[in-house]
Amino acid sequence: MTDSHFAEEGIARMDTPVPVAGVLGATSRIVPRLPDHVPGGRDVAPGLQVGPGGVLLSVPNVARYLVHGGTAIEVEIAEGGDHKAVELFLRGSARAILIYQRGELPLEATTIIDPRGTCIALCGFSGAGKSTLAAVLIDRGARLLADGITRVTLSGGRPLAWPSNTSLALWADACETLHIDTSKLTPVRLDLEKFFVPVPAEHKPLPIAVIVKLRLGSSPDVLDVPKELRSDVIAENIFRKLLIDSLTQAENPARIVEHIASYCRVLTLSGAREHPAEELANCLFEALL
Amino acid sequence: MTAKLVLVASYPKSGNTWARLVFERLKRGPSWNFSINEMATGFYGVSRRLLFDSVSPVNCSDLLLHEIENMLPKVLRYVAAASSGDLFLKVHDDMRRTQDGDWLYPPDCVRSVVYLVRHPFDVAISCAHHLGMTPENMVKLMADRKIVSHFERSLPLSLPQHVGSWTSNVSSWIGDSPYNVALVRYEDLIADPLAGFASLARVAGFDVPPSEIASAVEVTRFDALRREEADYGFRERPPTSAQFFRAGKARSWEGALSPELREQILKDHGTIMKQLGYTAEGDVQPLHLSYFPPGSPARVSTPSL
Repeated sequence: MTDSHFAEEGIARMDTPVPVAGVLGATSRIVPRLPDHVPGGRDVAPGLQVGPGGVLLSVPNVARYLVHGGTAIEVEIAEGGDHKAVELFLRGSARAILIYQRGELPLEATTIIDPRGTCIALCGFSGAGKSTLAAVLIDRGARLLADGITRVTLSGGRPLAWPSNTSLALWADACETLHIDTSKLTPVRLDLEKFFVPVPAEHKPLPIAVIVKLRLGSSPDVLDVPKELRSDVIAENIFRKLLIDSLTQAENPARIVEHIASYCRVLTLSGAREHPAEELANCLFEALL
Repeated sequence: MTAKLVLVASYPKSGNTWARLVFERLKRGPSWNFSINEMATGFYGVSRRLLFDSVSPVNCSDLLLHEIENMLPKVLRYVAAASSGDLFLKVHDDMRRTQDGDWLYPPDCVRSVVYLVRHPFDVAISCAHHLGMTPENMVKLMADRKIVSHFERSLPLSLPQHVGSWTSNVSSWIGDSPYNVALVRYEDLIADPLAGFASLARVAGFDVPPSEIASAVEVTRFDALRREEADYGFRERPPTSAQFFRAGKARSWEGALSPELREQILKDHGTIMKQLGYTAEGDVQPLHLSYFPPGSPARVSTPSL
């Protein structure tokens, strides 16, 4: 099976199933047309319709995605839609919705495996600098498991993070700071100065050991989150928690959050955006010793 | 229940924070232990980004500028529908439509707009301090219609906003409008804060006794805010600024803005200045507080000389 919906010339491979990254048994395919509405569906958020037939995600002038059964994503490309953008949102939000449909947890995290084999999920709001911090840690010997959204399941009660990415999405400025030449890199979509940077990757699922929540703050600092507060901190970082009741049986991701809180060390790392990623990485290393 | 949005709008450094502090105090009541650092963010800066990403099915960090703008009215409409109690938004954008044709702030969700203006001489000096720029560069920035705070090579913390020039920002909000806009001058608020905020409180939908207005005005006195910032800091102060609550008075430009720069400001913004009663000497002519229902052009009156 191919891993892209588009041939090298940028032509869409219609109806050809492509595996959904990191979700065994789930596939996506491009279709000529999706229904305008999900039968029996209702709008739950701008661009998001939920019904018995699935979830319809619409990104204007890019694509519409029908996610159903936790196993399939159908994609209708908008006329003139940027193919890179089509795949970006397929691998991001559409995949996150599929993960919810399976009763699993899409964590907004970039997850790495450090040189000692410790699985660390870096969480925080989009723009906090998760991928940039991951890049520094990978430069120091870590491997990438997932970037942006990490699929988390339970295995024997242990929270398991699944591999889904072999590159980090980094802004041009971050690439410059990290001495990465972007001239031959693929942009994540047209007209955005953000690039896919290939990095050493981990290819098997691993139990999460540490959750690191990046926070803004004037000084870089790492704090251990007390056990009774861990669930709240982790729950802040699940995909679209405001919409969770529409996207899944809320008790499923809640159960996974509880297991993460039980099994994992949870840290907050302050100083995001105000301090260089190298400094934050040093702070983190010290805390994990 | 659907909440309504109250927009506290202005070009930067024109009294926006002061107004929002008063509104916050009125909203939370006299039992609230007032603190500048506990004021609601007004869904500005990084909090607007977080709000956007909590509602939009795709992250704004993966969207282009026009896509973010097209989505924002829908996000705000969703938030209003999901909230109870009015929401106060801090706004420095000029008033405009998105590429899709919607008003950036959906009029049917907006109760009213409090639009603050300040003499551009004072704005120039205050902004220069705030942004860590020279007055010369700030005067150039104030004349630039195309100011969009959005970078292309990195992701800014704030959601992109189009401020425009001082003239384009002011004239957009006091022109023909789908909103109820109350225009207020910072200088008038300083001269008579009780009367000024009593009017603004009504516009913002508050029904409170004069004693509460007086109490809110008292706790937001400039010297009190300055003292609290000195003791505890202020989370809205950017790293470029030594002090957020710096001068808090009219004519703070004196001694700081050269005649050449004043001349430049007059050249760039003289038409609107005249309309607002702002003179070339830095003075402020008497003007009536105005409240404009939707569709009516903003009427500004100056006394005949």
